[in-house]
Amino acid sequence: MDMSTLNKNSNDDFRHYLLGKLPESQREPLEQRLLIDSNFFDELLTTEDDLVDEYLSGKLNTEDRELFESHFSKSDEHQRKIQFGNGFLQYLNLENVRKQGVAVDVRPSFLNLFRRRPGLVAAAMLVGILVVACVSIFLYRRQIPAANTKQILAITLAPGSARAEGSDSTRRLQRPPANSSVHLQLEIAKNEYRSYRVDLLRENQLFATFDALPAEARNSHFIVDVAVDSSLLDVGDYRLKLSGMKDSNQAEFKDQYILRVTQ
Amino acid sequence: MKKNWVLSQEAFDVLLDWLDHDRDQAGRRYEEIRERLVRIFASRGCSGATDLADETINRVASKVVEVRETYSGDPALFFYVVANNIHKEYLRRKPPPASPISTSPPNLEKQFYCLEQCLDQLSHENRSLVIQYYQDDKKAKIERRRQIAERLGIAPNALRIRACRIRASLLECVEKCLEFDAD
Repeated sequence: MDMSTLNKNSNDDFRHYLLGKLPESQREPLEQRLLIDSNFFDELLTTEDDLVDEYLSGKLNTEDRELFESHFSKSDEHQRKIQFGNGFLQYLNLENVRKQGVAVDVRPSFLNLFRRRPGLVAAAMLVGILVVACVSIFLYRRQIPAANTKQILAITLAPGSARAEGSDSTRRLQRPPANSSVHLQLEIAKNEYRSYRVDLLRENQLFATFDALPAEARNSHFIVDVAVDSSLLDVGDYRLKLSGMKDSNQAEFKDQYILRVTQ
Repeated sequence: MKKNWVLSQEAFDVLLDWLDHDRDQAGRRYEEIRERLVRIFASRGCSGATDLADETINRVASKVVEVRETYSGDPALFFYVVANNIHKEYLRRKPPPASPISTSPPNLEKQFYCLEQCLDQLSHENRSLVIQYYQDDKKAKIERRRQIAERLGIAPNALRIRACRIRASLLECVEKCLEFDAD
């Protein structure tokens, strides 16, 4: 096979090549072209990034995931990309959440409305003041502390490796109020590790990672408590991957937990 | 290759001259070939791909005086022949098995800090491009990328390569930032 007969869909060739499943007869012309064709080489680098992102967001099928772990990740160069990609994608997820938070907070539209309809805004503000006053009186009468403390919810999740995501037995949680914290308590039978790591995934995309979590004894079993800010939990299905941290600082997958956040 | 052969300045100059008579052009070609050899060894699943690439270059440099008169064709392909030999030797040495993937950086908080610093060093256009390009998921991502390419007036593939280059520069910058902090 010469260089001109390379698969026109070079992206597929690159994926196979990077995962170590491109036949030798196709590998040689591909590698030779990499050395002399800059655009072709750029294509390889972009495919590397795509593969890393797909792996990190759990989108690779079983065969490709295994090849990724046994072949692609062998080299230091690819390990660098994986480590960076993990941090980068998590950063972007947080940035996205932060951006959404800011978007809700934006006030120019209110100011514009005030400029255009001052009477309407004044009336709305008056109604608002009255509502606040009524709620304050109600709370005072019920002797509920009016301090704006951060609400904390707790929910215990049983291991669910054998359970399909979204099945009837999925634990449900009503969308937590803003400015609250949800403690997801992951049950484990034995405490075999010095600490634990939990990856929070939504629709197979890594959303956040919680490191250095201890296990606490609870009756006949243990729990790993993950405090998740409510801003990270929107309506949808979530998967929590629990890994134990070995003394060598390597993570070992233990179990997964399914959670559905409802309206 | 002669044992204990060391790449001398003279041999390196001959190698560069073989790649291109223009010294600057030769330097760029040398860097390109080295980077691509590293990727080739990495893609073959070799650990220590950089060392193998350097070993290849040293071996080519040790042969270049005798080869340059008779060899015709792109010198990069001669590197490839030598790289294949180096790879066979590597396999004979029984390379270590793959170590488990560690996706978790040693200090995520520090990496976020470095990412912020490095993103700030990018031009406004590149910063916004790399954030928008890699953000979101599924259909939203595809649509967003289409819109970015349209806005910039470039083909989707050109956008893909541009985003990849910015990401690569971020990786370099973050690694330097983390190293600096560790010192």
